[in-house]
This record gives sequence, C-alpha cells and structure tokens, in this order.
Amino acid sequence: MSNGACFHCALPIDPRDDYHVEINGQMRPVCCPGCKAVAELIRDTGMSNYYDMREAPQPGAGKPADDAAEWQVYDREDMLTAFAESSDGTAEATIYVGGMYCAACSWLIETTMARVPGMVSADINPVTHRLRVRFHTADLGLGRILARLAELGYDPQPLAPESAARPELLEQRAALKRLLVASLGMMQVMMFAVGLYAGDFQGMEPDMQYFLRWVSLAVTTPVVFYSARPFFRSAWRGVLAHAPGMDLPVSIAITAAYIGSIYATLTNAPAVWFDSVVMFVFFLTLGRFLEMRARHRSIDRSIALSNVLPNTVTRCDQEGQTTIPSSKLVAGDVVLVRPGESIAADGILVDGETAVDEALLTGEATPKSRSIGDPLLAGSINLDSIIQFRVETTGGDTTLGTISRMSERARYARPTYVQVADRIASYIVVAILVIAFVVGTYWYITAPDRAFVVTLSVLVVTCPCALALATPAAFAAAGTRLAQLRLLVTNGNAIEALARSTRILFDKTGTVTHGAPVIDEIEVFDDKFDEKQCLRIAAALETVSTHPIASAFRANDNGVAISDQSVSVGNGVSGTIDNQVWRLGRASFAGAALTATGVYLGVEGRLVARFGISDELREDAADTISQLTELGLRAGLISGDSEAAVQHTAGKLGIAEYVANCSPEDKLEIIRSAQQTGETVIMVGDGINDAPVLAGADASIAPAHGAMLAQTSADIILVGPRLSPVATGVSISRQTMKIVTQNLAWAIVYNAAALPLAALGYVPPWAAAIGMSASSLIVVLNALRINRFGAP
Amino acid sequence: MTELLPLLSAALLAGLLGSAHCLGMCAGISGLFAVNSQIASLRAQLPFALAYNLGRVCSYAFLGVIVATFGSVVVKASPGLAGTIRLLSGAIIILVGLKVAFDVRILNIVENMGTTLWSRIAPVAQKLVPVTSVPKAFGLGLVWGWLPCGLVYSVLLIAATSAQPLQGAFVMITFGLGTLPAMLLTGLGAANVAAFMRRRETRLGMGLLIIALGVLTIAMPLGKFLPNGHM
Repeated sequence: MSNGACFHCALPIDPRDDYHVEINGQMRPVCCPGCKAVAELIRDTGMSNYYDMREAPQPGAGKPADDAAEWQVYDREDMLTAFAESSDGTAEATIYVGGMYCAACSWLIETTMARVPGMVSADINPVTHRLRVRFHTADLGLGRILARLAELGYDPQPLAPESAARPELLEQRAALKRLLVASLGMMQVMMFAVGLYAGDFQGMEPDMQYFLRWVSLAVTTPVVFYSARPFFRSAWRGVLAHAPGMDLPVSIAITAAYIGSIYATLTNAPAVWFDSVVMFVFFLTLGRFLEMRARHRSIDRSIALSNVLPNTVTRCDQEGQTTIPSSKLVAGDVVLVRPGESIAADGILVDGETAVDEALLTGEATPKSRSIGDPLLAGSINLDSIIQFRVETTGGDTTLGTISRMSERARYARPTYVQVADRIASYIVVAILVIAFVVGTYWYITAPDRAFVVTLSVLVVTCPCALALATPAAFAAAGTRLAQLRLLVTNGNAIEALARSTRILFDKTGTVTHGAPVIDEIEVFDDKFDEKQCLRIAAALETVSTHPIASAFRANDNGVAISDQSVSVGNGVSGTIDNQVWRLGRASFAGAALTATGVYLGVEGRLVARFGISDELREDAADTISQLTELGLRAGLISGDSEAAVQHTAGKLGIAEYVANCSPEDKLEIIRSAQQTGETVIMVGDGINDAPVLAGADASIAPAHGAMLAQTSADIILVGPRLSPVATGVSISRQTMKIVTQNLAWAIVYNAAALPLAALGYVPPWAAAIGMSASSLIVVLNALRINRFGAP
Repeated sequence: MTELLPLLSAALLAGLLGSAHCLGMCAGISGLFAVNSQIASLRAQLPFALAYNLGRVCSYAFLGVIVATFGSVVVKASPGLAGTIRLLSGAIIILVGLKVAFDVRILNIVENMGTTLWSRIAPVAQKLVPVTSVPKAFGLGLVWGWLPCGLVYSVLLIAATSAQPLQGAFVMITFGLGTLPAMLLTGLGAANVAAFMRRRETRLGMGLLIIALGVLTIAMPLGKFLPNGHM
C-alpha cells in the first residue's frame, strides 16, 4: 500500500486533507471523516486485528496488450519450463482463452489449432475456456500458438500453476463492468420510459417527450457499444469461421432495434425500443455473468485444492529458523510446522510425533498418526504438536499437485455428446436466421408497420443459448462434483458410460483390498534354506515388480545380488542369483501345481517356500458392492489370485460371480464377452498392471495414490481409501444424463413454443428478451443442481 | 412526477458511484459480522448483509423525510421561494456532479459538520459490534446511515429541495438502492466494482451525467414558461 492510500478503505488520500487515526499505537492516514469514524469504531470495539487479517487491497490489473510481437517471448526456453510440462520432445500447456463466448468458438479454435504445424492435440473446454495443447517443441513454440489465438481475435493467456486463478478474475472484472454499465443504462432508460408512458397518459408536451427520447438514446449508446460488444465480436468471429454462433441473431437483433429506434427518434415516429435494447443487453449480460460465476465457482473449488498450502513456511537451517515463501522450498529443506498449520510440500517426518488430517487428499476424515520416518503429504494439516519434516517434492510434483492437475484435466475431457450438441446449435442458428427472414418478409407484405417489431422478437426469443449451454454445463458440473468426491474424470465419455453401465467388474488386490499386503505365514519346503533367506531372496526378486504384493516383501530387501530380472505378467517374477534361476509367484510358475493360496518361491523348477499373504479389505467394500447391486449393476470379481483366495474375498463382499486365476488376457476376454451380450462394463482395477484390461472396458476406474496417480491410464481415478465413491459416481452419472436430457428437452420445447408465438406477433421485444434469458438461466441452474448430488 | 425524475436519477447515480467509496469504507463491516468471516460462506452472510443494508436505507429514508419536511416548511412559509428552491436543487445536483467528476471540494464543510453528530452516535454503534444476530446487523445499518459521509449529506440536500417529506424519502431510498449493488456484490468481486467506480473515466462520465441532470432540474420548470407548458 502506498503512503497516499487510506489505511481503512485504500482509496487515494487527497493531499489537502489531514485525517488520522491511531491503530495499535501507530498513526494511520485515512481519507475522510467517514473512514476515520469507522476505523475508530473498529479499534474501539477491539477488532483491530481485522486490519491484519483482511486481504491486501487489489491493485487494478493491467489490460493485456494486443501486440503480436509480445507473444514471441513465450517461445523462449525458460517460458516453456514455466508454462508447460515437456517430455520426449512434446510439451503440454494450458492456455486460458479470453473472449470466448459460444460453442462455435471452441469448434473454431480446435480446428484452427489442429492445423498448426507441430501441434499434436488441442482440446478446449467451452465451459472453462481453457485450451490444453500438446505440441512438438522442435517444430512449434508456445508463442506461436498464442499469436495464432490472438490472430483469431481472442485474448490468450498461458496458465502457470500459480497464476491459474488470475484470468478468471480479469474476465470477471470485465464482465462486471459490462454488467454495471448495462444495469445503469437499464435503470435510467426504464425511468425515462416510465416517464414517457406516464407522459402519454398525462399528456406530456411533445418537446419533453422528444427530449426524453434523446436522453434515452444517449444512455442506450454506451450499453450497445460497450456492454454488448462481446456479442458482436463473437458473432463476427462466427461469421468469419463460417460457423455462426448463437450471438449472431442476438447481434442482429440489438443492431436492428438500436438503429430502428434512432430512426424513430429522428423522424418522430410513434414508438422507440431503447428500453427493449437496454433490457435485452442487460439480461443477456446478466445471464452470461451468472453462468460465468457458476463456471468460476467450479474452478474455484479445484483451485481451492492448491490454495490450502501456506504462503510462507518456517525453514530450519544452521542459522536457525527463517520464514521463506513456500514457492522457494526445495527438496532437502527441513521445515518446521506448528499445530494447526498445513504442510507445504510432500516429505518425510524427521522430528516429533503428531497426527495429521489428510481429508483434503483422501476424503478420509479420521486423523492419521505420524512418527519419524513417516511420509507427510502437502495439503494435510498438522494437528497435535510441533514437527519438522524434510521436503521431498514440491509444487506440482506433490500428490496434491497431481490431484489438482488431474481434476483440471477432467474438465477438458470433452465428451462426443457435447461436440454433437455444438454442431447442432450451429445449424439451428442458420435455421433461425432463415425463419426470421421468412417471417419478416411475410409481415412486411401483410402488415408492414409491424414487420420490424415481429422480426425483432423472433430473433431475440429463439436465440439457442439454452440449447448450446444444455450439455456442456451439465458435464462440467458433473466433472466438478465427481472430483469433489475424489473421482477424477480424465475421459469425458466415461460419465455417459458410467450412467449406462449394467455390469461392474472388480480386480481384487489393491482394488477391493487396501493393496498393502502383509506376509502372515511362511512355509519352507527345502531345509537348505531358512525363513530369513527365503524372504531376502523373494524381496530381491520383487524389486522389479510393481504388483501390490511386492510391497509385502520390500522390508526384507538387503541387497542380494541378482541379475536377469524379468516380470511375467499374471504369473510372477524371476531372476538369477548365484547362477540359479529363481522364480516367485504362482505355484505353477515357481515349480509345481499346488492349490494352497499364497506366493511360491522356487529355484530351477523346485519349490522352496510358500508365503501366506493377507490383504485387508477396504472398509466400505462390502457396502459399496451392495449399493451397486441396489443400483441394478451386476458386480463381479476377477483376479489373478488363486481360486481359494478369490472365493474367500467374494464371499466376504457378497459377490456371487467371481473368476480366479485370470491372466490380463482372460480378464479382457471376460469383458469382451459381456460386451457382446450387450452389456456396458465398468472395470475397476489397478491402472498400471491392468492397463489393457481397463482400456477394453466401457469405463474404467482405478484407485491410485502418490506417484501412481500420474501414471494410471484409467478413465476415472479414485483417490483415497474409500471405495464407495464408485457407487456414488454411478448414480451421479445417471443423474447427470437425466439433467442433460431435461436440459435438451427444455431447450427444444422452449424454442418450439416461443417461435410460433413470436412469429404470429404475440411476443413484444421486451418479453422476448426476458423469455430467452430465463430459458438459458434455467438450463444453467438445472445443471448446477449436479453440484449437490450424492452429498453425504 | 416527471419533476422528480432528475432528482431520483441523480441520487441513483450518486449512490452507484459513491458505493465505491462505501465499499472500501464499509467492507470492514462484513469483518464485524462474524469473527470468522474468512470461513463464513457468502450464503451465511447474506441475511446479515441484507439486514444491515436495509437498516442503512431506512436511516437514509428517515433523514430524507426530516430534511424534506424542513424544506416543505420553508416553502410553505414563503411560497415565493419554490422556484428558488428548485434552482437550488439543480445547483446542488451540479455540485454533486462536480464533486464526482472533478473532485471539487465544495461540500466538505457539510461533511465536517457531520463528524460532530457522529461522535454522539458512535457509542451506540460500539454496542452492536461484533454483530452476532440479524437484528443487530439491522441496528448497525440504522446507525451506519448517520456516518459522516459527504455524499450522503449532499444527496440529503437534494432531498431537502424536493420539499415534500415523501419525495425526500424517495430520493434517499433511491440513493440507498444505488449503493446496494456494490455492497451486496461483495462476494462477487467487490474489488473489481470498486476499481471500476474509481476509474477516472467512470467518475468523469457519471459526474457529467449528474451535472446534466442538474441542468435538467433547473431547465424543467422553465418549460412552464413555454407557450404550451402545463407541467
């Protein structure tokens, strides 16, 4: 805050004034007696810490320049690192596209972007206006992509993780200004209109009427040229792209009514429509503003994920404790965390003992106790005592960062459904223009004095905004809601598949169980080895395996020399120790066909030992299965484990159908044959080992955490220890599809009903404006109901 | 009723524009609403905000009635002054416009007078803080209406020149309504509104509009002297 700003309200202080107030022993300058009074009141009521707590006043943000050369800077290497994630010669970046107003815009951007040489893929979310691009860094720079977007007439802004929130604020600010101008204009013009109507009754003298019309014109002009500008721009872009959007009829209507009114004013004709123009613009702007707010609120929720991190942390080093910004943390730093503070990075507890609340990451409310050596996750809250931890990963590499990124990606997933709806809306716009022309011509022939008003109403009332918003709004809301329930949707078509699904297949280990198996039984067949040796050999063999069972052995690894390690998917692992080939896995793979459950260790085809492994079921696994059954889904368990183990688990869960000893190929075959009988199959399984199986299902869900998060290939990723979101997810998806149907039905019914009424001349322009806005608002509000679905 | 239009318009504009100032000044109020205002949701705060603003507008209306009654007494005492008062009304509107557009400081004297009045009222306000219930919020709003605010006082002068208690109330209510959008939009990006209202161009534009309304106020009675005037 500069010296010239009021301590209380942050407005600039007039140098001619001298008002001061004493807060916490310091004389603070204020701008006026009012602020002085309020500040004193706040002080005298003991609320002075309000000043410490309030947010810093926001400085006005600058307007982005339109100069093409400015984009070149984004071609630089360091910009690429700041704004994109690159690997193997391709980079992925998220760009906020300002100035997008309709569904046709997303089509235009996607097609243009796809044609840029070096572009791998470009997906835009029409609801959040974010474009996700993948491109070859050798052929294409971020700057060129941005410049191309700017050429199309948009305001692109690359999103760095930190600045992810800003563009929304900018857009909101601009929209709010437009809304203010429109509402101001509306209030004034309405007042004058009342005056004019009252004048009609009271017999206002023509001079005054003439005068008020001119004043109305003066007030309407900024509304048309400022508040309504986005509609014109968007309409023009649509025309240029040969993909007319819903703003085209809107723009034609505004222009026609405005020019018609000016003509009427000049010629002293009996009626002007300034009130209709202003009202139309006001309602449209209001509708867009509300829709934008709703959209931003869903973004806010995911940004909230990253907002939980503290801005500053206390770092401990040789010089003692220093407070540094969290963004300056690097791996290896030791950070002190007091009770109640949140943890800024992923790391390992090195001093103290406490309980942490990881609800944000896992949805699990019970505090977890943590002692030295235990992992801590960024975004969790330290509950009990002062601790110190050593930072391992920071920022986007943390579990929290990955979750945020994936929930972000969830919104780009653009279902085929939405794309089809976009195209249809575009055709409808053309149809509306044709109809308006026909209606106008008819009225011009039969009743020329009403032709103008009727055509105006037809254009306004039939704007297919509702139709264009119906589907994307619902899918975006569903993506947000599912992310809140810890289901991260990475493929938009999954929601629709989930809604249709009739059958759900679960993998066992790590899916219905926690995937943290422990060895509870060791049986040694060969007396040349003892239990410890067997465990060490097994641990050495498992070092290459990512199968959940491997983690049970890990603690016993003491570095036995091993070579030629390989993984035989569905069977086990093998490797050479002291020139002998050891195998660990199924009995048949290790040496002999035994039926007892467990993992077998064998050398050169001879069995050496059997390990009994147990893995606890997820607490809510059985409940989840019964919920799914209630939803009418057939649940099944397919696993690579032995018959006995799978049967045992299936029995506990109340699953009637199970198949044991499945290789990934077998699993895929089970899914295929179910699909051939017309079933829609959801596969819930470990996303890494079962990738092809997951890909074969209509929708796939993978429980994942930590480093696995980013690697899973599933359509939907389940975060946290609970399985029940799967059932909630199915019911939310069904409700979402219901909402989509309702929205589309409403949009079609509204347009079908309003068009004939307007064409017959029963709808005055102002009523058309209200009807159109109300219909789009209904659609958006209906979609937002999804945010409340499946609430616990 | 057309006579009152420019007065109402000017009050509305002054309210809208003034709200930028109110916002900075009174945003602290929401901090007084709940100790945990950062956590309290917008929805939870809404009843408080509505009650508080209703209280404020009530106070304005009350003040409007008082000053307009005073105005009407003056007019009744000397009917010859009616034309002069209308002229005065236009002049004050123009002054408000000038204040808004160019930051001309003619009305500061009025503002300083209010400070004395406020020192009597402040103790009442202290009893209402922290605001823990909706009635308390309403009460605080009632008190807040009396804050020494130059703009409120200026609009009160406009209200006085309406010289009819009911019309005075109308003028003040319109002013209060003008301040509402910004005050209620707090959760929807108040800082943006404030920044927009604070912009030089905005102030200039709206100020000029207010001045035009002042001119209109003065010019409208002149219509009476036109050949076919019957307003």
